[in-house]
Parts: sequence; structure tokens; C-alpha cells
Amino acid sequence: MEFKCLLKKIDDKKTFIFIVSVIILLIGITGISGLILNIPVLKSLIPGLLAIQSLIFLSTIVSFIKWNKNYHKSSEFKREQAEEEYRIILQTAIDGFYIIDTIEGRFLDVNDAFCTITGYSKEELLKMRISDLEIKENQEEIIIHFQKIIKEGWERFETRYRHKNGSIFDVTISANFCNIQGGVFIIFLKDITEKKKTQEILKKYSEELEIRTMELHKLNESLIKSEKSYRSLFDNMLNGFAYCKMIFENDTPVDFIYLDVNNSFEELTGLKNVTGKKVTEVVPGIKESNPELFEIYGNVSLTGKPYQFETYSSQYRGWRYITVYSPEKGYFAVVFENTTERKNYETRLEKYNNDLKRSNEELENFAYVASHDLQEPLRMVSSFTQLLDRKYAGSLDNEAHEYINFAVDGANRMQQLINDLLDYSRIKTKAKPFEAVDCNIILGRVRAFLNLKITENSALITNDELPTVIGDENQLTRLFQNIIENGIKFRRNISPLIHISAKDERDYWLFSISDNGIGIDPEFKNKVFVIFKRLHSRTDYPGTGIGLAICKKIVEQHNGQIWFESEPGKGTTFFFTIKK
Amino acid sequence: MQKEQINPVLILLIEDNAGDARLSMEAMKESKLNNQVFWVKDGIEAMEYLRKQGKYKNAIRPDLILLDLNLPGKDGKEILEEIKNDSDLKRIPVVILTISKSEEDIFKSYNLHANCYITKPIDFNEFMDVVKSIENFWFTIVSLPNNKNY
Repeated sequence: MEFKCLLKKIDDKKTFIFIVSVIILLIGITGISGLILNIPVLKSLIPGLLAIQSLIFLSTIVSFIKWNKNYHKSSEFKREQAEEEYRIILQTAIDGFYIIDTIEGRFLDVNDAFCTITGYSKEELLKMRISDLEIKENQEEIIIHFQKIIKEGWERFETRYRHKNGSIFDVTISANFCNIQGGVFIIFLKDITEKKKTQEILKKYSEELEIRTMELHKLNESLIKSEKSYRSLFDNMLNGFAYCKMIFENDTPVDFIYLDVNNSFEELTGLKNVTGKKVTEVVPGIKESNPELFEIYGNVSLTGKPYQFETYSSQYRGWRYITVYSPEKGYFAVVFENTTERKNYETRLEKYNNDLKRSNEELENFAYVASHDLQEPLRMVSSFTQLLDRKYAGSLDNEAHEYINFAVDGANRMQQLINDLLDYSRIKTKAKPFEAVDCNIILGRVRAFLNLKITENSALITNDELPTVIGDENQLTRLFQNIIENGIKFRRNISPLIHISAKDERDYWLFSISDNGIGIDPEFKNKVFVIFKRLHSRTDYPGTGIGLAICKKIVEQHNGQIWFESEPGKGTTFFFTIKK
Repeated sequence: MQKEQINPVLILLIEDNAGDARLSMEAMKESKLNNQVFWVKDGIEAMEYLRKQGKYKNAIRPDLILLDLNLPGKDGKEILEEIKNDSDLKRIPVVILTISKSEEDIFKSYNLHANCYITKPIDFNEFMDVVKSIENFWFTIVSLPNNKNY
């Protein structure tokens, strides 16, 4: 039992019997109607007709038997032929095909495609059941499908089978129930694993696409928003902006086209409707007046390396500070501002600065020359009054000697003032290049200088470890010396104690020199550093009042500050900073 | 070693400042040495004197020159150079006596063969002492070439 069930029996016998029956009936009717109507002609024909009728009947029977025999012979052949054809078709079909019995699900027939799909050979399959291919979790629904097939004759569904190699594949099943040989299922199936995969991928893609679309939508919205805000920034910013395309000829930048500009561009340049135009059209003569622009812009467009520069534009009679960058090769964007005012201001500032510097230099020079030249006449006053005193000592009375003393003292003090002024002006004019200076060494030198005063006053000078700073050695020596000397000079009736220490304050050194002297009234806080400012009478404390003024100038020369803290009657601490 | 002074020693003082010149002369006067100071106010006059030109036809060759650097017109260093480039005058000791403490002046002066360089003390008494010691040094301690008859 193979394909018989599928064969359609072509029943031509019915037609044949029908034709023969009609002929016999016609003859019979003719004879009977002759008898009934008593038509003599027809009556006379009855025996003949009966004979013909019998003959035809006989021959018909014979030929029918004969035909029927032949017919059976040819239909058998045709059926076999068709069976073969179908077999070939089924065997060569791309879709899988199999027949199983309805009781055990044993394979009764399979085609090559099914073998390929399952990985088993035909021989193997014919020893197997369909359940061998089924996957456990799918079995229940498969049973439901097959019940439906028995009930309704056919069903189409998707399920999964296990390949011989263990892999699982998706199939579409088209099943028919045929009630032959106790009932069989005739099944066509298609491997849809690839399709399924593709579908899944497609689904994934489509989901992703959806997400992306949403994201894109959001992005677009924010882009529109940011585009709007950028545009508004772009339009409202005070800097001029221009986006341009560079034009090269033989790799040489020769021109550029304005693609977009903002409002400030128009305001700053006075150029209107430049978009789409070449700069050489818009600003004739720019190539001659500012050839460097083409070189710079061309270079930036090619290298993408941003560049900043300041340039004078003769067209606009002003200075521009320009930043160029390239968002894309061959294109560049410039952001610029008008710096003419700043530049003018700078120029003015520079001029003022130079004037001030010159004025300062002149002043210092003046102070130096003046004090130098003042020395000479003063020396004359002093010398000749003393000569007078020496030569006429015997012939002058006490009063005259006193006058002479006042004159000499005045002249000498004047001389001292001039010398101090000279020193003061020299802090600037005679400054040496800064170098590393060990403050411990400086302090040692100051101790040596002041040795006599230290001994005379029984002063005690102590110090912490001092740093090495960058400065002018002579000036720093002077600084320490003046402050320490003041500490000894402005002593109380106890032995002067002076302590020097330094603190690292990262950017600078903070020095402190404290004494146990008479102290300084806070009301003089701002006066002590003023040149020739004295707080005490010359009789009590001699000196010109230059010491701290010189200290202040030295500290300032070292980019530092100087101040003091004091408690009158207890002592003073001077602080100063030296920049590292 | 005190030298017997028959003829007074002659000092040529080249100094534009009358006060300074006078002070120097006063100091010389206080000196025990028999000396004579001839004072000229500027370089031109000084060279005329040394070369016995014009009104100095009968000038006497000085034994020592006291030279200030800061002079009007021809300045001290030019005079020094002229003297030291003169085969005859160059043997006269030149003492630079100036207010300048400048290292550059000191260096240049010795480069031009000054015999010594002295900064004028500002203090009167010191000044007097210094001038006296110049005289003492050059006329009692130092031996000078004898060429009065030029």
C-alpha cells in the first residue's frame, strides 16, 4: 500500500453505458410507439427493429466487456506511471515529506528532503517514530494538533524537532489524515529555522529600530532645542562669527566663501548679505592688505589645528583678535572680537608705563645726582666753619664757638641726610641680579657689623634656622641690620633680646624679628616706614629716620611686604615676606 | 728718613673748586714740609703750565701733581692721559684727589698710570690729615727722580 489512495479513478464506463442505453431505449421506443399508434409502416418494421436492437445490444455487451478489459489494462499502467511521477516529485521536493501511522507514529515513508532536514537516513527513519524527533515540551500540543487532524482531516501548525546532531530546528507542518491502512498521517514540512532566526533578528531589529527611532526623536527634539539655543547664542553673541569654505588653487589658499555669519559679524565688519559670497568680492583688496589671513585660514582648514592671533585690518581701521578652527577639512570657522579699544588702551597703558618708568628713573637719577652735588657745597660749609674754629680758636669767645658748633652740626646732619638719601636711591639704581642667599650667613655678617653695639648694650641675638632665599645679598644684609640695630637702639633699661625666625608660607617666606624694646605706639603704624620720619627726639635717639624706609624699599624690591606688631613698653615684632 | 729740604717742593694743584683748593692749600700750610702749591682751575691751564706755554713760559716743573677728576672742559682723565703720554712729564707723580668713589674711575685712572687714587674725605679733619699724609708720603718716604733741569 503506497500511493494507491492518491490515485483518482477516471470512470469513463458510466458515459459508455449511458450512450448504449440511450440507443437501445430509442429503438425500443420506436417499436413500441409503432405498435401503439398502429402505424403500419412502423408495425412492419418491428421484427426488423427487434432484431437490430438485439444485435446492437449483443455487440454492445461484447464490446463493453472487451473495452472494459482493455480499460482496466491501461488504467493499471497509468496509475503506476502517476505513482512514479508523484514519487519522483515527492522525493525531489525541497520540502520534507513523511507518512506515519496514526497508532504508533512510525515512519511509513519519508523523502530525501526530510532526511536532510532531520539528519537521519531513510533507513534509520523507517525504524523510528515521529516522537523520536519531537521535543518533550512540544509533545502535548502536537497531540492536540493530531487530534484535530483526525477530526477535521487536516491541520497546519508550527513546531520544533530535534536534529540528529542534537540541534533543534523549527518547522511548519502541513498534515492530512488519510483513512487507509488503518489510518495514516501524510505530512509535508518545511524547515523554518532560518526563517525563524531571520524573523527573530528582524524582530530584534525592529524593536531596536523602534527604540532608536524614539531616541532619535528625543535627540531631534533636544537638537532642535539646542540648535535653537545655539542659534540664539550664535546670533546674540558679541563676538563675530563666520563659517567659511576655503578655496584652494594648486594647494594654495586663494579665497574663501562665507557659508554662515552671525549678527555680530555684520555689526563688527559692516558687511551685509555675505553668505554665499567670496571674501575677495566682499572685501576687495583683502588679499593685498592681509595676505597672512589666507595662509592662516588655509592652514587651519587643512590641519584642523586651531589658531589664535591678533591682526590689524586696514579695511576696518581696527584690531581684531581672531580664533580660527576647522570643523571639517577644507572648512573653517572664525570667532573674532574687536580689540581696537583694548589695543589702544594697551598702547596708552604701555606709553604711561614707559613714561612712569622714565619718570621714576629720572627721579632716582635726580635724587642721586642732587644728593651727590649737594655734598660739595655742604662740605665747604662744614669744612670752613671747622677751619675757622681751628685757626681762630684762641681769638674767639665761647659764644662764637657755640655758633660754629651749630653750623658744623647742621652741616654734618645735612651730610648724613644726603648720604642716606643716596643710599635710599641706590636700592633701586644699584640693585644687583637676584641670587640664592643664605639668611644664616647674612645674620652672621650682621652680627659681626653690630659686634660693638651688641657688646656695649649686652644684647642677646638668637635665631631659628633661617632659609636660603632669592634676593640681593647686600640689600638683605641691610634689611636685617637696620631692624636688628633698631631693636638694640630702642631698648629699655633691660638687656635687649632679639629673636629672628622664619616660616615657610608656600609662596613666600615670612620672617619675624622681635625685640623687647620700648615698642611703637600703634598710632605711628603708618609713619615708621616713611623716609626721614622720626618718632623720637634726636637727643634721645640719634639718626635721620631713614632705616625703616630703606627696609620697606628693600622688601618691596623683593616683592614682599613689611609690617610690625607692637606693644608699647614691651617690645616690637617686625614681619616681612620674601617671595620664593 | 727726613730729607733735607733746601728748595721748597712744588705741587701743582689742578682743581676747579676754589673751596677745595683752598682747603688743600691750608692743609699744606699746616705741614712741616717746605712746600709751594700752584693752583690751576682747569685742564687747559694745567697743560699750558706743564708745557710752559703762554703766560707760563717761566713756570717751574712741579714735583707732584694733585689732580681732581671732575673738571670743566678737559676732564681729569684726559689730562692724566696727556701727562702720562708725554715722555718728559710722565715721570711726575700724579695723585688723583677726587670726591668720586666710583670703581670705574679708580680702574680707569690706574689704567692711565695714575700714581695713586685718593677719595676726598668728607669730614674736615680727615681731609686735612689725608692731604698732609700725601705730602709726607711723596716727599719724605718716596724717592723721586731728580730732573729739575728740564
